[in-house]
Amino acid sequence: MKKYLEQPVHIAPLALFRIMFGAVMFISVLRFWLMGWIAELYINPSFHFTFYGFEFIRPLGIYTYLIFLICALSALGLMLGLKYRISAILFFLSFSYIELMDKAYYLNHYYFIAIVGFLLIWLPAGNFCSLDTRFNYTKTYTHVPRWCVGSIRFMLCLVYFYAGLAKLNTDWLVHALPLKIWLPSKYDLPLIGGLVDEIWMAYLFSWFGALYDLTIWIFLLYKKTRKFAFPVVIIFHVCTSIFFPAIGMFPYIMIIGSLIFFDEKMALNLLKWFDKKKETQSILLEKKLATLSYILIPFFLFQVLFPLRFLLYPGKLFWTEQGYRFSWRVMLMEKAGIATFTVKDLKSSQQRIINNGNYLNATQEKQMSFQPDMIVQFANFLGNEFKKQGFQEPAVFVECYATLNARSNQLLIDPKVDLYGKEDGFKHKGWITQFNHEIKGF
Amino acid sequence: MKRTVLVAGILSLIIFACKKTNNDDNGADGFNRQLILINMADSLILPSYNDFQTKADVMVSNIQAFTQNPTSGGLAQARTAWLDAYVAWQKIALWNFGPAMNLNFISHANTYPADAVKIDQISDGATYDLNSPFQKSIQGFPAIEYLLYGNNKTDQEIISSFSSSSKSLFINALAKKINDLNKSVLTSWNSTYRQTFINASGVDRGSSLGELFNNTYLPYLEMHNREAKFGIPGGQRTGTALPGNVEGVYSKIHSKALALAAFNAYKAAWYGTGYITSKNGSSLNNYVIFMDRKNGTSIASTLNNQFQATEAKISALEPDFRAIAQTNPAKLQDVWLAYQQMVVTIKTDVASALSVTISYTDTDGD
Repeated sequence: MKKYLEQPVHIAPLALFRIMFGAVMFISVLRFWLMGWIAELYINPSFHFTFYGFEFIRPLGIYTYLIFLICALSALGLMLGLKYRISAILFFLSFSYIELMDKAYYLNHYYFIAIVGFLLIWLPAGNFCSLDTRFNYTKTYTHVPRWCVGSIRFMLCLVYFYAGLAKLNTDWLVHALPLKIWLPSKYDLPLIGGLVDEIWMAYLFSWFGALYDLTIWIFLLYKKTRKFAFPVVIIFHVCTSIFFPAIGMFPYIMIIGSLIFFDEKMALNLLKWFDKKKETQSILLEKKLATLSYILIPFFLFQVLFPLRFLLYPGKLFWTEQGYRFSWRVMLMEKAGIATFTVKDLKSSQQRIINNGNYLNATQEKQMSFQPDMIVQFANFLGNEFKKQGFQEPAVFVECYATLNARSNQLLIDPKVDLYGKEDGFKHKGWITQFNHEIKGF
Repeated sequence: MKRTVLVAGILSLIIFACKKTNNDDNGADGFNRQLILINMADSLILPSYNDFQTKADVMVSNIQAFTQNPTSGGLAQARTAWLDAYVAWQKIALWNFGPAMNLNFISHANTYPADAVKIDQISDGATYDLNSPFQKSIQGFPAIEYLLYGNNKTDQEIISSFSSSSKSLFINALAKKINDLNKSVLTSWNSTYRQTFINASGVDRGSSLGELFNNTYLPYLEMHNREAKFGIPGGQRTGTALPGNVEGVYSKIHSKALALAAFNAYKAAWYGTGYITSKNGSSLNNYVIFMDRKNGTSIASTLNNQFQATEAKISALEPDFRAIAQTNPAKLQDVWLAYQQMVVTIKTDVASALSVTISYTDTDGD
């Protein structure tokens, strides 16, 4: 095993991945900036949904732009392979900071990007086809131990596998939900617009999607099937992008991600576009397995186990969302809710019914209205606000109705429970209601 | 060779599928969403703007006639024209997107309570600017109402107050401003916006169904019906009733007529009821029924019951909401609750069933 992991393989796929990843990240950050989302999502709102354990990570007012600037420049650094290690560290830190500022904007692919950023810190992706080697800041290596390329491959396989596993439930497979709801809204697409109302389309998409996630990584791993698998990856993700434009950069990230599966020849062919110089073979051997043993293996163990934490919670995962994030559950459910908060002063019996829009933007309000951990955060914020305004003993109640995959709405939170002082965290939230329906499977 | 056959096969399949689309628009399986937009534009929106234009014209001329020759007959005619136009306004206020939104028609025409102190100063000759975003509460129907009814004034007092030329000029300017705004909106709809509207397919941001949903069907219902007409004067959120904040506070007897007109217009928008024909055409309700059948749900009938409950609650009120807010604000809060039931259904079940985009940032569908 140790020998297998240390066996030298060509660095080209890793270098190619680094270049494309840096480029797509640079474009992503630029797009975010140009859409005006930095101000709209991070600077303007008066309240942010922090992550449990990361409450100190918050937007920094006007300096938030600086974090995005660092992120964009370090992405550029990754792409060019300029001061690679520093770029990777800065990218990981700045990107993670951005994503941890507000969970209302959490996306699985943002988490994936942060993970890749972390892995790149430890991998010698800058030692080939980079400005660092051109300027002799660092040595050129044509070959690196297998685990260097394998780390990113493993992570991608894991993402696909868990994304597929998450689809093995009765809603997805038996009822073709939520695609049965989502597809009809795409009635205006060219060519297939007329078919979106057909029920079999929803089943076809559901089953193919599950099969794709569960197996595509296998076809990418094997040399014989790789050249067929790669076009399938492109077609699949371009299709998802056409059907669901709101998923943003995700399809492109997955497409460039799969470049890491390329073999030496294919990767070198593509790298010629960037660097025509022929390299003489030089093998990186001293790259310590210690990095692997002490950092990456525990890290991967965490990655394997963390998505399974939902098994430890009572209640239906889709309903309670306890253990939902950081688990590669993508496009899995159609959920919508409305949360009406009442703040009462138990001393004076004054009460206020809150207009959420006074504190949150549309995205925050929408996300909060069906996610219990965000609801309790907002309830605590409201309690504190009203304490400042003179409520002596504030209590916060919420009447929250949510609908999941086209079932009629029901109460999500026990409306009699005072949420003020209730903690967000990993413990089971007893004040989430029972889901009235059955969903079997993962 | 094999590959060519395969490609040709796939292509012909796609073309076949395409053709099917075009022929099958009204088929059993499909549901033609564009018909909703055409019905909304041609049977509801345009006729309502045209009707409002007629009434706004009458209001302009009656107010002019009254100010030129302030008599009690003239005052009565000015008030009737004001009320007719105000009721007609309730039937266009909900189209708060596109041209109307660009001009911020809704806050120019109907910000209440009117700022009585400032309006008195202007009547005495102070300067004003109807285009200023900070002077919304000196204009529109509530301001005209204040000028035509005053605060506990006799008709004779009102009539003689119009001997002031600055007051006469001001009320004419107010009527003209509303009229001008509607003319611009109507011009936009008649020139290009109708076509833009019925062509903007899909349910994403920027689509017409998205616009309707994210302006007319939700925030309008929440802010301009539930909150403004009932929640704020009834003190629903604060526990403190604000009788001075009812719509139609100076004329006293028209609050209910205005609220019912707004409710009925909203209901018509939901059922695609023609403004002139009163017949139900292709509507969002049909779309919800279509999805109900697909998903085995009964959202349309739930909402229908909630419409009836809300209507019953409003109908049971006395015409003067200010009196209600002073003596029994719980009655106004009851209507707030009835509207809130509708909001819950629309924000959860309907939004989900139609997959309308509510926020505009990236999502991964949770």
